[in-house]
Formats: sequence, C-alpha cells, structure tokens
Amino acid sequence: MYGEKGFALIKELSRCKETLPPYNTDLVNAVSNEIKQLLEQIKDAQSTSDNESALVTAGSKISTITIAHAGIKRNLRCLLSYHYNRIKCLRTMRWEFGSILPADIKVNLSAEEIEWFSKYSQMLASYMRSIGDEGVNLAIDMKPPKALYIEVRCLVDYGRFELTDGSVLLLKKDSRHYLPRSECEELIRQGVFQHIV
Amino acid sequence: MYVDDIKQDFYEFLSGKRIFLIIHYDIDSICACKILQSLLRYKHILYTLSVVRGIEDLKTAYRENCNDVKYFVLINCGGTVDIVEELEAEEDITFFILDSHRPTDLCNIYSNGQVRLLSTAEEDVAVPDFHDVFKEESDEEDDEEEVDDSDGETRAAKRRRLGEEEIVKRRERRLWEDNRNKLLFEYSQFTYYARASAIRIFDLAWKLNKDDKDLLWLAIIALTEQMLLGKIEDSQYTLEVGPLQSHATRLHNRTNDTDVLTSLKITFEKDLRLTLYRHWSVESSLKYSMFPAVKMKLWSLKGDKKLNELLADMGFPLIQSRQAFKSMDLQLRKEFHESLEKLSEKYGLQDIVYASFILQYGYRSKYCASDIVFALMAILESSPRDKKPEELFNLALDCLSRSKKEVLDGAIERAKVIAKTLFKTVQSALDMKQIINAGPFVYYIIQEGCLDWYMFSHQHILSLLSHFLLRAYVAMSRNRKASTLPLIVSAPKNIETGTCILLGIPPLGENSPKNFFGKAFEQAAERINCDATCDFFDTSYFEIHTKDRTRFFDALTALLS
Amino acid sequence: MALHPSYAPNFYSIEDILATQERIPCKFLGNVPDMGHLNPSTLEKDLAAGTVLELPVWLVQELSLGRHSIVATELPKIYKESYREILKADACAVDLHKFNLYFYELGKHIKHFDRKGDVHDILLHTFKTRFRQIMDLADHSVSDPTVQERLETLEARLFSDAYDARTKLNAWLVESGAILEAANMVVNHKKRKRMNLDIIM
Repeated sequence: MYGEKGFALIKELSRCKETLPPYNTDLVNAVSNEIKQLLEQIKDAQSTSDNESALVTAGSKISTITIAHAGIKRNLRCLLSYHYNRIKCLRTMRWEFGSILPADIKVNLSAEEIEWFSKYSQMLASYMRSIGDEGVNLAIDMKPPKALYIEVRCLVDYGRFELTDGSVLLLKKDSRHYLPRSECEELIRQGVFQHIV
Repeated sequence: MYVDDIKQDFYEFLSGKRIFLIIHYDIDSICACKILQSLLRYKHILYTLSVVRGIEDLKTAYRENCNDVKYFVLINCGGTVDIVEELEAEEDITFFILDSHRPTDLCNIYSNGQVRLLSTAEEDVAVPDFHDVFKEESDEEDDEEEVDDSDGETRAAKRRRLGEEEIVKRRERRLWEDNRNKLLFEYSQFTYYARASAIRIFDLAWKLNKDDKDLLWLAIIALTEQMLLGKIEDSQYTLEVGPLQSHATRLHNRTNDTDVLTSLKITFEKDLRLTLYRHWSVESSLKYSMFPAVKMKLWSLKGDKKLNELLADMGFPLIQSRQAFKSMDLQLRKEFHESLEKLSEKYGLQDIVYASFILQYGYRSKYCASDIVFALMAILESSPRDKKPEELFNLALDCLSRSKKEVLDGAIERAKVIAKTLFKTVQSALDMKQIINAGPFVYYIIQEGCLDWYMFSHQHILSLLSHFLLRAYVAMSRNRKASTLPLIVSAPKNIETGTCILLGIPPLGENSPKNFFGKAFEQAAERINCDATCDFFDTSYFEIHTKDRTRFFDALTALLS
Repeated sequence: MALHPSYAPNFYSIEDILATQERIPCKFLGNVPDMGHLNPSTLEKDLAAGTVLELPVWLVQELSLGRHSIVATELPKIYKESYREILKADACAVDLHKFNLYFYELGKHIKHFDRKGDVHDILLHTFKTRFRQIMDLADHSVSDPTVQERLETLEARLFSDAYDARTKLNAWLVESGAILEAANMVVNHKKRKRMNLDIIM
C-alpha cells in the first residue's frame, strides 16, 4: 500500500513525545522515491490513455491516476509534517535547554536542522537585545515571581558559578543556597537547581 | 568572644553579607537551621548551606569555600575545638558559632573577635580566668627588659639577685603552669550539652518579633531530642519547658486568619513515655518503649505476662490493643491516658507521665514532639545505605515542613522498626549475657552480622541503645554496684576499613549526663598507641580499628580502676 | 468553501495522520488498471471491479467523495448499528480504547460516508456522556493508571490536561506560589540518560 513509509516516519515521531529521534535519512529518501515513482505512474497512465484514445478505458485510467495522486498527496503530507513537527520540537528546545544543546541531542539532528537552530538562536538573541535600552532576557521570569529571593538545592556537581555581582559560588551536589531568583531561574530550567518552597 | 547583643551584632551585622552556614548532622542543628533560614530570608541575606558530620567534613567545607565567603556560621559544630587553629583560618574570616556541645574551647571564648560565640556566657560553667590560662607574651618581654635595665649593682649582686629573681620567677611560672593544667583538666574533664541551639535561635526570632508557631515547634523538637537522648538532665528539661510553654500560650492567642483555616495548634500536655503510641498499637508501643520495658522487664516471659495483666487491668481487650491506636474504640482511646496513669503505681511505672507538647493541624494530623524526633532519627540514620547524608538532611528538612506529610508518615513507619530492633537487641544482649563487666565499667559489643547491626553505626540510635542497655542491665543485675558503672557500647562503623564506633555513657546512679569518656578514650588510645580517629564533635563517641579493640579496653580498664 | 476534510484540523497534525491510516472496508465499482498490487491476494495486473479491500481512510476519501466514486464504502464495525446500540446504552461503561484509539478523530472522517447522520449523533452522544466522567476522574483520581487505559486518544489528552491543571491549582492553593521547575524536556532528557545508563550496566 502506498504511504506506508511516510506513515512510518510519523509513527516514529509520535512514539517519542518531547524528544527527537535520530533524523531518518533513509526513510525520507525512500518516501521521496515513492513520490517520484508515483509521478512516473501517472505520466505512464496519461500517455497510454492518449495513445489508445479509447474512452472506455480512459474512464478507468482516471481512477488509476486518482489513486496514484492520493498516494503522492499522502506522502507529501507525511514528509512535511515530519519536518514541521521536528522543527517545532527544536524550537521548544531552544527555550528549555538554552542556546547550547546537549551533545546526545545534537547527534540526532540533520545538518539543515542544526543550521536552522543556530539561525533561530541568533534571531532570538538579536530580538532580545533590541527590546528597550539594554535588552530583555525573555527566557527568565516565565512565571510571575512571588519573592525576589528563593532557596534552591543543587542537583549536580556544577563547579564554580559567578553571580552578576561578581561574587563566586561553589555549587556542589546537594548543597543548598539562598539566592536572587533571577540568578537561579536559568539553572533551574536546566535542571542544575531544584527550587525549594 | 561572646556576642552580647545577638540581634545587633549577629543578625543586623550580617545583613547584606553573604554567609556560609555549616550545620552539624543532628536533630537540634536541623531545627536551629530551619529557624535561622526563615530569619535570614526576612533580611534577604544570601547563604549557602552545607551539612557536616565531623571535623573532616568541616575542614573540607571550609577549604572549598573560604575564598568566596568571609562569614561562616557554624551550628552545633566547631565550638569545642580551637576553630582558627584547626582550620588554619585567615585573619579576614569571621566565625559565628552556636554550639550546644560543651566545654567550649577556651581559645574560642577568648578570641579577639574572629570567633564569636552566639551562646551566652552563663551557659559555660566554670570557665577559667583568662590570666590563669594565657600568659601574654609582652609581659615576659617586659620582665626581661627590667632585668637588663638594672645597672647600678655589682655583677655578683646582680647575679645573685638575678638568681633569686629567676628562682622566684621559675617557681611562679611552675605554680602557674600547675594551676593552669589543673584548671584546664577540670574544665575539659567532662563533656556535656548545654541548651539546645534551636532554642537560642528561637529566642532571637522572638526578639525580632518574627516568631510563629512553626518556629516554636522546631525549638520544642530540639528540646525533646535532648531529653530523649539523655543529653540533658531532667531538671534542665523542666526548666526549659517553662518558657516554651508560655511562648505557646502567647502565640496561640495571637491567632490570625490562616491559623483558623488550618487550625494549627500547639498544646502543652501531659504525655506518656511511650514510643509513637498514637501511630502504633497500644500493645506494641508499651512493649517496645524503653520506659515500660525497663520497669516491667518486658524482655522476659514474666514481663510479657505482666504486660498482658496490665492491659487486662486497664480493661483493654487484646483485639483492641493490638490494632492501630487510631482505629481503637473511641471510648478506650479517651481512657487510655487516664487508666495507664492510674495503674502506674501498681506496675512500677511511676513517672510514666511527663510534660510535653502536641502539634495539631487539620483534622487528622496530631503529632507529639517525640513522634517527630523519632521520625527525624529514622530519616537521618536508618535510610537505605546508598543515600548520601546531604540527601537525608534535605529529606529531614522536608519532613519538618507541614506540607510534606507523606515524608513524615513514611519516617514514622521506619521509626517503629528502629524501636523494635532496639528492643530485640537489648533482649538478646540480656539473654546471651553479652553485657560484660570489665571492672570499672561494663561493655557491650555489637558484632558484625548481628541483627541489623548497621543501624547502630550512627550516633543517635547508638545512644538510644546504650541508654536502654544500661537501664536494662541495672534492672537485671544482682550486682549492687551496677548503678555506679558506666557503659561502653561498640558497633561496627565501616566494614571496609575495619573500624568500629564506641560510645561511653556515664553510670545511671550519677543521674547526670556529664560524660568523662572523651578524655578517657583519648588517653587510652595514647597509651596503647593505636591509630584512632576522633572525628566526632561529641567526644564521648570514638572510632578505632576493630583489631585494636581488646587492647583498647584493657588500657581503659587500667586507666579507670 | 470548507476545507477538504483531510486537512482538518491541521495539515501537520500527527494525530490526524495516524487516525487517517485506519482502514475501512471498500468495494471497487469499476476496473482499475495497473493497480493490481493493491490487492495482495491476486497477482493480476489490474484491479477488478467488485474487489473488496480494506483501504486507509486517506485513500478512501479521495476515491469515494466526488462525482465519480470509484469505491463503495462500508462503515467500520465500531460505527455500525450494533456498536452504536452499546454506546447508547451506556457510553461510560465502554472501553473506548479497545474500540479504536482514535474513535472521535476517525469518526469525524467516517461520518461523511454515513448519509443518515447516525454516526454524527453517536459521536456527540458518546462524548457528552463520557466528558463528565473524565472531568470527574481528573479532579479526583490520584493518577490511577487503569483509568487512562480505558480512554481513547482525545479523551486521554483531555484527562491529562485537566489532571495537570488540577494538580497545579492544588499546588498553588497549598503553597500559594508558583514553583520554578526544570523544563519538561530537560527532565525527560535526564531520565532517558539514566535509563540508558541502567541498560548499559
């Protein structure tokens, strides 16, 4: 049946929610080949119906073309959806992981996707710089702050961390800190800190 | 140096500075830390918090952070050692120490502002005078100069006079040194505990008008822990309970809206010396609690019968007394307190009632202060062994916040297991006659591979066991002098390195928690020249290699007899 | 003009693509040359009239809707009279998950093959009856996994959204503050890493 391979691509995405499976170059190529092959079939059908010019058979040739055409449409939809949804996921990752992706995620991307990601990061950065006089970091204060300072627990051995006022902090696993919220927010999102209430 | 005005010279002083909190791994410290945290938040004082188990941890924590932070606050650690010397601290670093361990090191007391003690001077008893212990170097120099200046005399006269002076001076010095050593020995002879740190910090909160019921409850837990672990005398407990009770009344009258909603209430009540009975069954609680177990000798067959007799006398059917206290008949539940108190004399259970506090919130949650102490102990010391102390410390902090009820309930379940294990260990120690009289003291060794031995490698539980053991021993022993003998308990500490932990407790008859084992352990270790590490802030705990243990006990026997 | 049904709700929708892959029985009305390979049971080159095949929805839509229908469709059995009766009796008691993972999504496409409008009615009826139950579960169940097993995709999503919202509201009511959390993806990423480690070990 046509469209099986395209469907397999989509199935792959649907199985891994909120993460990216490795870019499936083989399957993508297979789907585009199938599209090409269907196009050939349509061309064949057209040419044969032209030659024979028998109206009776022409009617049924139309149904062959319809089926092939539907197959193309379906495959196209799967391909586009596959890429679109991956990009969408990648965009979310920019907000959640920050501008640097973990290496094990990066290996799953295609070259084009990596390029898209860095372009998106650049655009975002220049947009954030352009707001107001000094720019605004849109990635912080995602939730309305209740207090300016919060207590956090360090979940990993992060090493030394410099605060904006220049003082240095040693972040050791399981140590607790009381810090300005703005300093912690990004580290919390990256899973270095845990917010304690 | 003592901080005179804790509000001005500690709290206000620290505002705007970044501080490093070093917390000892015990219940009092955790409570004190939690109160302090809430105070620091009001002023937005940035802090980093780290938990330590011994001097080594303290050194590591200091070393890793001394370049970044200049103010260190130490809770229940560091007071008994010369902290500046021990940590090789730079001049620009200031220590604030709140330590309930005693005696406080004299160098800390007479420090010139680098070490600031947050406890009050009255809590340190019989501190030797500065001039009796420290001789200022400038004095000596002056003396020498004086000698040099005296010109007008003849050489011989001078020499004679010098000789005389020298002799007099030497004699004075020797006397002074003798006196110094004597004073120092007297001062450091006993280790004991002063007022709980959490109470001190709560007082600060009160002075700042930032106290509330939650903070008071923490102070109460700290005090209860000191009492349950025999760290303080009963009279001291009674003394401390008074002010806390008035705080409870005062705070109760100062209700606000949220209190009505959650109906948070701390009440001062008479309670029973039974472990966790509100969360257990009456029979189990009676059986596994130290107090009734010792009084009725519950480890024996006879004791068992006596317990059943008591239950029958109280009019409690076995079925009822074996099911969870919460699900017992309402009538029986109400009567339990009273009927046990009434029968206490008949069964030798006088003093089973003591004054304590109860925390109540919502409709179902009702906890006695001792419940929380046992729960905390279970978290700190009987969690799965792969958990790191920092994790457990965090869990203990969670356990104290009211929104994490499931943590507390889980801990209470484990606390029951501890209580059972304690009882069974005592029972087998008595049955097998494993408590051995060494002359000046008795000792008990928990062998590796024995029932739940790993539980006893921790300080709190080992301490509970030792008190239970000693009481049971005295109750069972035919030796009339049993109550004058101190007890040493030893348990495996680290199997890989082959070390064991020792804990000595003073004799029952002395009725005082002052502990002389710290010095004794030290000297005994010196005598046999064994490689001992004393990493504990409470020096009545000691760690030696298991292979040295027999020799060590011999040395102790020689030393103490 | 309304969008072509297969474009609803969203051309890129993964769920819609998954739902339209479900197959329904069809009968070919005329010969289709060169398409014999669609029928795995014959080796003939052409597809003969009268062949009955189960075709995916996306294909059937192209073939049957329009002036020249190539196939005559039949309703899948879960939308037929007998199943409709079950749903009418008590929709809440049904394990929709077992009916079909995409009961509603698929139904939306299927209803165009049903001229009497019965499918349309039963979809509405089922959703209305079950919706109350789902909200109820989301508000009160303590994340009981067996509950979710009986829901189809749309319902499961509603349930989890409602459940999340309820937990957040409760947390807010108790803590009266929004807790800062690690981003979802970061958390999942870590979990997966740990899982991989476990496998290696």
